[in-house]
Amino acid sequence: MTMTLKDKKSEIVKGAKRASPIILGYVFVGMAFGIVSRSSGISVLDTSLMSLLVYAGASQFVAVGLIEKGIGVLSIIFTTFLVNSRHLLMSASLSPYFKRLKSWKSAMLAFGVTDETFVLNSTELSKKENKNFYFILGLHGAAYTSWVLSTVAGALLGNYIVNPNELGLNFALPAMFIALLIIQITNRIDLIVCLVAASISVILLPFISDELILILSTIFAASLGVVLKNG
Amino acid sequence: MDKILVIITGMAIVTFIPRMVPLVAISKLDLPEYIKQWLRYIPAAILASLLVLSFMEYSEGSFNFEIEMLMASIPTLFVAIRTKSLVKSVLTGIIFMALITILT
Repeated sequence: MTMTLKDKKSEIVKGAKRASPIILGYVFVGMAFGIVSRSSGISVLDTSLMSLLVYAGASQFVAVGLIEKGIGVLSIIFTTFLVNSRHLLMSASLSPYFKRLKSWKSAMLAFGVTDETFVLNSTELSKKENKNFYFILGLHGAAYTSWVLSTVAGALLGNYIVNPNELGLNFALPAMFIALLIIQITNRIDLIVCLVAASISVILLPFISDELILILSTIFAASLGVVLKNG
Repeated sequence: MDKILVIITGMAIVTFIPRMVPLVAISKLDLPEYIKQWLRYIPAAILASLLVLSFMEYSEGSFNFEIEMLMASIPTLFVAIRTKSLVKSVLTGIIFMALITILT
């Protein structure tokens, strides 16, 4: 299948447009990160560099807190690994859709896998498998750009800008999760998997970190789904 | 090299590896059907868990709820079920959340 330059461009634009709910959410979280990072004594350049190179919100907030406390380099890097190891599950789940893609293209798209792009992509890809490289590139590129730019804005402008809370933007990502959940649930087993994952998350909440909750509840609920499907 | 640059570089490497390895390596394998099914249930499970984590937290011996977000979820859920549209649902959620924040 050959694509003209025009086709590629239109797929990139389509993907970027589809990322709009994520962009709204990232503007809020990215600015918050910029502000928090600056107030922990990290420079505008280092704050921006972290969003540019790491691109993983939760772990960046954690790292900034650890840096402020003067925790050692290796501990911070190891903590980051633990927080972001949940992406293993997400990339594994997306991998069947990447079968025909060249390795360097897969690696390039892999950089853009976040909680939000993952749930959005998996809904898109399960609807129509032949979403191509350029569509995902547009989606990931737009989300990434909004993350980096809003970090820079937060770091530079800090307290001069309006509180994004008042614009309702703190609800953009939870609202997207709700809508995606509704779109994803198509049969009874899907529903059971969701309810079980949610219940386990609530039960584990007092005991372990959010990232570990995501990993354990997902592994358990998805396994139960397979058992129910074949049982 | 400055300490913070070492931290950022290290973070970038350990974040990229778990993202990249499955997409590059597992995508080349022919997986058995039950593994494929398992991988297909992951998004729904992660979504449900992410929602719990967005609305609830546990601190100092008790569960705390994001009451305002729970309120904004009702119209969002309604629009999501009726339209199955991501954009309409998210806009509804943001507008209601802004209203709730302003009014309370």
